[in-house]
Amino acid sequence: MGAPGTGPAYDPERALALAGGSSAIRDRTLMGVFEFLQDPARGGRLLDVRQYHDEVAACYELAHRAVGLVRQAAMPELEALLRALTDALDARDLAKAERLGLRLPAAIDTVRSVVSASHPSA
Amino acid sequence: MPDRPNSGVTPIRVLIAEDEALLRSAVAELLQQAGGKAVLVVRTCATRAQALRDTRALQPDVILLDLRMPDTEGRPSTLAGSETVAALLRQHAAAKVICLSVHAEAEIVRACLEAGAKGFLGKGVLPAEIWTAIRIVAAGGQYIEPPLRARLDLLAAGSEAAVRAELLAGRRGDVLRLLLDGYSPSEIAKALPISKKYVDKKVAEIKSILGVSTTIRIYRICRQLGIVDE
Repeated sequence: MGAPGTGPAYDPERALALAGGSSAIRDRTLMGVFEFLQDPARGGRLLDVRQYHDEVAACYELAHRAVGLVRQAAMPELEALLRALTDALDARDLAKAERLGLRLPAAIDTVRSVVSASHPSA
Repeated sequence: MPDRPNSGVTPIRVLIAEDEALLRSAVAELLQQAGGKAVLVVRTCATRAQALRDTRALQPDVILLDLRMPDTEGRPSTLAGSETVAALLRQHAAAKVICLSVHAEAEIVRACLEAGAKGFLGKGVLPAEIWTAIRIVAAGGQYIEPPLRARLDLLAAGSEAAVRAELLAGRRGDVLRLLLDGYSPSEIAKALPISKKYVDKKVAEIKSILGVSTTIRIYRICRQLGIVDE
């Protein structure tokens, strides 16, 4: 579970609104977000919490970018978790960052399931 | 709904400076969709160096600026957002800069406005709001996303400390701290321990104090207030 107090995993109405009502733009955004989070050279690096210690500035940049992307995709739970991770990395609180980072895979899986259920044909 | 100006109307020329390719192309497409023939995206830029060069060459009316642009490809951002605003205006003084930022703290907004920016939007705003902001600044006005404007007004009134104190008082503060740590109302009730109904009441109070309707907005404003991570 991501950050359960912060809202739904995915808000399909807002995702469509953010895409100007275009399901094509929305789907591109969703695919782009998941690609970013999976890519071991980009957002995927955040899933390896050991990197936080050696690459704190780079991980901060990635977490910051990820916040912008998931916000554009209307994923409030993941956004809150990534924001908290960004704050922890910014504060060099690596123990907290690690705790938050360990929650990322489950949060991403959750949002992926919700998105798949919301747009089975996409 | 796109504007449909007379064919003689000169479109507002916009340069988009955003390092994330996905957002860069989406904003360009959405802007064209929202503004129709009243807007022309003259260039999209992925780095600050490119944005500075193209601003000088193309002299756009409006620049949409992501505040954390890398200096060049693969090199992280080294300038503060306000410094980037000032640098762009040195290239083309008449440009109207609208800042876009994930972390739109009041201090950052104020610094950017002092550097000459005419607008400020958090990321994830609706396309229609971006287009509204562009039209307003192109016409000589200023546009700041309403929740940010409210924060700036609070800061100007010197009342941020009072709001912080009110939010963090007693049980309300306990609930807020756990909420900001990602706990659900049920988890908060279990942790404190208090009833779920009492947690809901405290969350409603927090929303009322901040004038927001969602938990994510509580998080955003508390971050601006410096409550997160305290």
